[in-house]
Amino acid sequence: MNSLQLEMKGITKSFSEEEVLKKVNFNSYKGEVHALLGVNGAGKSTLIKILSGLYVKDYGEIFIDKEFCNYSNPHEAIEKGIATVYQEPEVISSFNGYENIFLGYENIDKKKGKFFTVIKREKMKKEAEKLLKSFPVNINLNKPVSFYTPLEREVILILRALSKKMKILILDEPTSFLTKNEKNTLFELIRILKKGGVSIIYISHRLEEIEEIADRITILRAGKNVATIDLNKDKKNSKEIVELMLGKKLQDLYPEKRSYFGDIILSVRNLSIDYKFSDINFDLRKGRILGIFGLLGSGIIELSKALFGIERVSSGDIIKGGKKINLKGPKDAIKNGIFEIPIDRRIEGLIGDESVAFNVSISNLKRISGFIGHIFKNKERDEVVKMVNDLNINPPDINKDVLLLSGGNQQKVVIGKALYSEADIYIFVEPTVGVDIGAKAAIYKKIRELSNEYGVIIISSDCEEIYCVCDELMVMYKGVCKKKDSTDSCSLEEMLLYACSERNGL
Amino acid sequence: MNIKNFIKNNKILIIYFVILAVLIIFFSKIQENFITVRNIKNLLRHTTRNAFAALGLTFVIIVGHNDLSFGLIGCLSAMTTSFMIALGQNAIVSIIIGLLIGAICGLLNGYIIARFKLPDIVVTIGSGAIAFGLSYLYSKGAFIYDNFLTSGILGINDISILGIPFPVILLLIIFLVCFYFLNKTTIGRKFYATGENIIAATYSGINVRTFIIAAFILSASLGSLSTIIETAFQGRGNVKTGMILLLPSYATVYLGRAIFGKPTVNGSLIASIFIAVILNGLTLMNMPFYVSNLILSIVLLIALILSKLSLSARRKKLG
Repeated sequence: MNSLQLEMKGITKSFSEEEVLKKVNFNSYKGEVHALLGVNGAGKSTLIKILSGLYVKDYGEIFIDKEFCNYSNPHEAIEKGIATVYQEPEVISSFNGYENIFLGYENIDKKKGKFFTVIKREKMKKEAEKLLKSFPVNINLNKPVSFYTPLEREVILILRALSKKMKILILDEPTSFLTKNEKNTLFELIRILKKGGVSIIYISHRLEEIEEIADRITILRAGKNVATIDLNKDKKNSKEIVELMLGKKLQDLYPEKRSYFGDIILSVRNLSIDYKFSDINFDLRKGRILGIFGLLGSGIIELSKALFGIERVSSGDIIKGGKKINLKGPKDAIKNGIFEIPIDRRIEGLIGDESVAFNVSISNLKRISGFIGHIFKNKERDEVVKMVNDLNINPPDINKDVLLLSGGNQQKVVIGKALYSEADIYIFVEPTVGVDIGAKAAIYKKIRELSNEYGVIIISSDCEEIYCVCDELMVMYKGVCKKKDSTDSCSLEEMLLYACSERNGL
Repeated sequence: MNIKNFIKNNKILIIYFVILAVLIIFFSKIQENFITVRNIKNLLRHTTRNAFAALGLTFVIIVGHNDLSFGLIGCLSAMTTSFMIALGQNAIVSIIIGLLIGAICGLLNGYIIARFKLPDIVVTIGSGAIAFGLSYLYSKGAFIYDNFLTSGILGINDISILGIPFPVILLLIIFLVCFYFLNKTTIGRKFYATGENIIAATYSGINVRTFIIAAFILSASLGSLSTIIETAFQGRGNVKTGMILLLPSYATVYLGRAIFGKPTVNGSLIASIFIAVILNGLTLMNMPFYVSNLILSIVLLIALILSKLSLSARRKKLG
């Protein structure tokens, strides 16, 4: 066996009293691809950010080449030989290939004590081409990076890492934006790097890729190690892996489901946005919460934007009340009775520095105003107080600045705003991100209540949330609908498997 | 108890008035003609010219943008009005045409910035230069005097009602209308929502583009009103009338923002008095224009820092 390149022991990290990593161990051998797996919120990205120096661990030790390392910023991590390629490659798009490779390290002669460096383009280019030669890809290094394909950009970053004599390469969802052929090329590169003795940490939701490329896998769940499996010795199938990722117990957080089939309130036919998602079809009924589940790169966020008019669709129809509706912006969607509770409440939901009342009534100011828009303050106060009590917003002070509230209560304000619009279709996008358990249960209960009278869609990458709250289910993978079913007749494992893989069945 | 609460809640406002009082006492001590009927009229003249433009600019700042062109657009409007007068046109018609030209320039500013999502500063540098260039076309830059005395245009500056000059009355009317719309109606809510979080405002169904365009129209029109009244005061069309508006207006709006914690028309109105006192006092002391500009710039920077500090203090409280 090769020697141990990286060892992380007992890594612990908390964010404001919430422990996201609990004594996690992780190690990696020379020339090995080690995949890190877990559902959203399991702690994968926190662990990676600690390794790459973006976060500082609270407890634990990191050894590189059996040498104890203590670093606290990305620059020091790079010096230790740790390179990271993120989902969206960090390049300067107006610079060309070799300039990006040597970005920040233009001093390629390594002369010390120089205050500034004169850039030697020819030498830089030669060095870059030398690095590129070892790979089976042909990239024009003279072109600005903005003309590159996603794969070429990733290769540039890998070359950047190579130029710094990296030992450990972290690939975070590297295939999210790649085609199948590009993925194969990337895997070839990874195999070449393996031969060169680099240890690769591979993060992906796509299980068949992991089976294809990984030597070992480590599974995290709720910030703890669940298992580390050597795939060369112990062949696990996807189903077993998914079971390990999920664990068994589901929290007692979710409202009871009811089987009430109401009328169809919204239909979507062959909806597509080029390069994002294609041919989405569904019917939304009153009484049946529709869950749309997918992971990063699945197109669910783009779909949510299309349904609210934020992104224009390329083709297909949205049909409400028997009529085709054309959404040119959120204003049109709201006019047609569709309101979305957006993914990022601070950026897309709340108007900061303003009161709860301001934020709730903003979605439907007609309700509290008369001639030339005169606002009846008393009417506003009464209606918002009712909403605050109804949603149990704490503290129940309608004049409080929204940014003073906790995450859960902020989310309730955003929901209050949506309800205030008196829409008949509510789209919740990742409704409980950064929300504490108590508020979570209350939000689910409210969503369930709403579904009796209105159409409700939840769009989320949290599999448990979709499975336990929704009645109908749609799973997306790479912009395509992989499965439609009721959540009663589909298991949670099955659902996650569809979201993680190309295959169509167990 | 009530007085205590009032002091507690309006600390900055009280400090502001104390400083203003100190400033007035200072000027009246070193210049005996500071508090005379004649000078108070002058002071009101400075206040109104500056306040009209600042009220308009306030809307642009509320929607989170910048406008560097309203003064130069004002030059174009003032020259247009003067030209109309010289052609023998009725005074009221001439004024309305001048204001319309200003409004159209503001509309173009707002449309270009909101529709193409272009940087406001660069766009308004360009549009301001265009407007200023166009204002030279009427007379190649020379003063326009023709028909000024007979047309009746001087009236909009000279008329007094119950001893109060007409520009002051007009300012108060416009202020009250702006105040009402910004604070008591849905339109004001939408202006503020657009500026504070344009994405959340869009997602709430607000047509943000309309409000950005409206803000630029108001800024250019009120800038034009300021220069047209100044034209009536001077009794001649002068291409450079609006050139001096930019710095005092910005100083006014940001001083108002520092007092109330966000851009408001009441803040701008109150701050315009302060700016006018400084300008007027320095003029009486025979200070050249560059000294007043220097002092105004310092006021602007201090106001900027203060409004940032009050914001950070609030954010800190938020934790």
